[in-house]
Amino acid sequence: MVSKAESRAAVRPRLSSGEDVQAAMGSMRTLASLSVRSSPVSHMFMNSSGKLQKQLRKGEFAMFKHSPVFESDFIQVSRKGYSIDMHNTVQMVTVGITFSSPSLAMPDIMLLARPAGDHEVSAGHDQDTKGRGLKSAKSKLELTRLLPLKFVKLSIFHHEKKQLRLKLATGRSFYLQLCPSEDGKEDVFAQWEDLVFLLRPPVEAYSGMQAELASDMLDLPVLENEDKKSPEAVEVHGEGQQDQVSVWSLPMDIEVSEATSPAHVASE
Amino acid sequence: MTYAYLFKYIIIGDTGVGKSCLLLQFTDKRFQPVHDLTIGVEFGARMVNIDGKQIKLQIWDTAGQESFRSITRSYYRGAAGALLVYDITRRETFNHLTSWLEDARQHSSSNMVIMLIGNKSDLESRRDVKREEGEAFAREHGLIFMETSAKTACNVEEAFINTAKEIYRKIQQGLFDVHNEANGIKIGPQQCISSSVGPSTSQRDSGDVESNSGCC
Repeated sequence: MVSKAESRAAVRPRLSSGEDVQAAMGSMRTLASLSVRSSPVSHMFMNSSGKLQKQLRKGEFAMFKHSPVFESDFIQVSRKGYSIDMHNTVQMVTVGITFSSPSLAMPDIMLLARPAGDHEVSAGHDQDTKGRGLKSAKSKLELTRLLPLKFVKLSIFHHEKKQLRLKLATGRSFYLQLCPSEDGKEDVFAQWEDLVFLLRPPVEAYSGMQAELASDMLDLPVLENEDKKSPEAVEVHGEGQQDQVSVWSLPMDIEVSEATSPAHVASE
Repeated sequence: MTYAYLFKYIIIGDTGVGKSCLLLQFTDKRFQPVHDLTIGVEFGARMVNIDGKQIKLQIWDTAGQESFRSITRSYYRGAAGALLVYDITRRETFNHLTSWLEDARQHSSSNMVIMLIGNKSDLESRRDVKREEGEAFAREHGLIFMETSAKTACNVEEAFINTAKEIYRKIQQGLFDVHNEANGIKIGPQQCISSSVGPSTSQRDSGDVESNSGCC
């Protein structure tokens, strides 16, 4: 395995000026490949060609036009693994992990997207989502969020159900269940597990093993307060019996908390 | 849907000034009084019509909290327009404008069009920054200025669209190199320059607004 320092030493300095960026656009893909090739995550990114990456290649988001993306489709589930809401629909989320710069050896960005124009996909009558071939109805995606991985804690929530937990620096957690891949590949979740372990020390990679983790994410007073009230805090103290339904439409639905922006609150 | 140009916008300013609310009002025409703290960037997009040209606005709503700022400023690169937002009821958000402006100018194209926005104009009784102060700041720094209310939608359309008009004007004047995506402008699919930058027409649609139709 090549260390991060070695990987960085092997690549060119990052581009800075606008003129340089355009002049070098044609070679950025090569640069990205070079840095990724020397990275411990290279096997996930070198042959990636998901629909999010294909869409990014069209160039509307210039920053990611040539970025390799490791991506999968997920459905948003509750903490107990239920996915269906009252309208018998599921929230589809495409999660992509990528790089903000071709000079990076490790990914630093999470991109979230949803089917364009139709945020929900019918899930039929079967309440059990496991094993169902949920195909996104729309091939075109709408990019909704960019989350620096520095502010996100990704962990494995349930190995058998192929569920990840995504905890934001605000203290809010979301639970995502991998959709079966259309090509029937069996090892996609294993790659996500690899990624989780590479991005986090192993002791933190499994949700069930971790203590309260927010302290190393951000030193934000507002977040400290939020964490005390977060579902994780309840879980740690053995009182987490409630089904914490994390409804996350993109952009987020409201859930009033201390991590909420005060925009216009005072006027209400 | 095809478009002649895509303009990248950024929305910047202190936390809690209403950046995400402005975006939501512009893209979804609704107001959400409480919004989760933005982490990283939230994206929005909308088509507008400027002088008969379909233009796609790709909007990057950035985190305003100081702790996220060192990272989010790296996403300013390649923006054609910026909405620099302060809260007219919180003096400190106005006092921080210089710092935001320096950041924006340092990390993006020198041609970037910047619209200064004094948001929450519906809260007149709690006003802490006079309109004239906003105007003076904008004049001093070469910005466009508007007061808006994301809550009532007052001037929200105008703020986004007038910024697009100014970018389009700069394109027509040759001040923007539209082939350089570092300028935050992308030519639409199957468009060519000769057809994209044509003479102005009077054709308009609902996305186009008069510059001085302000309600605030």
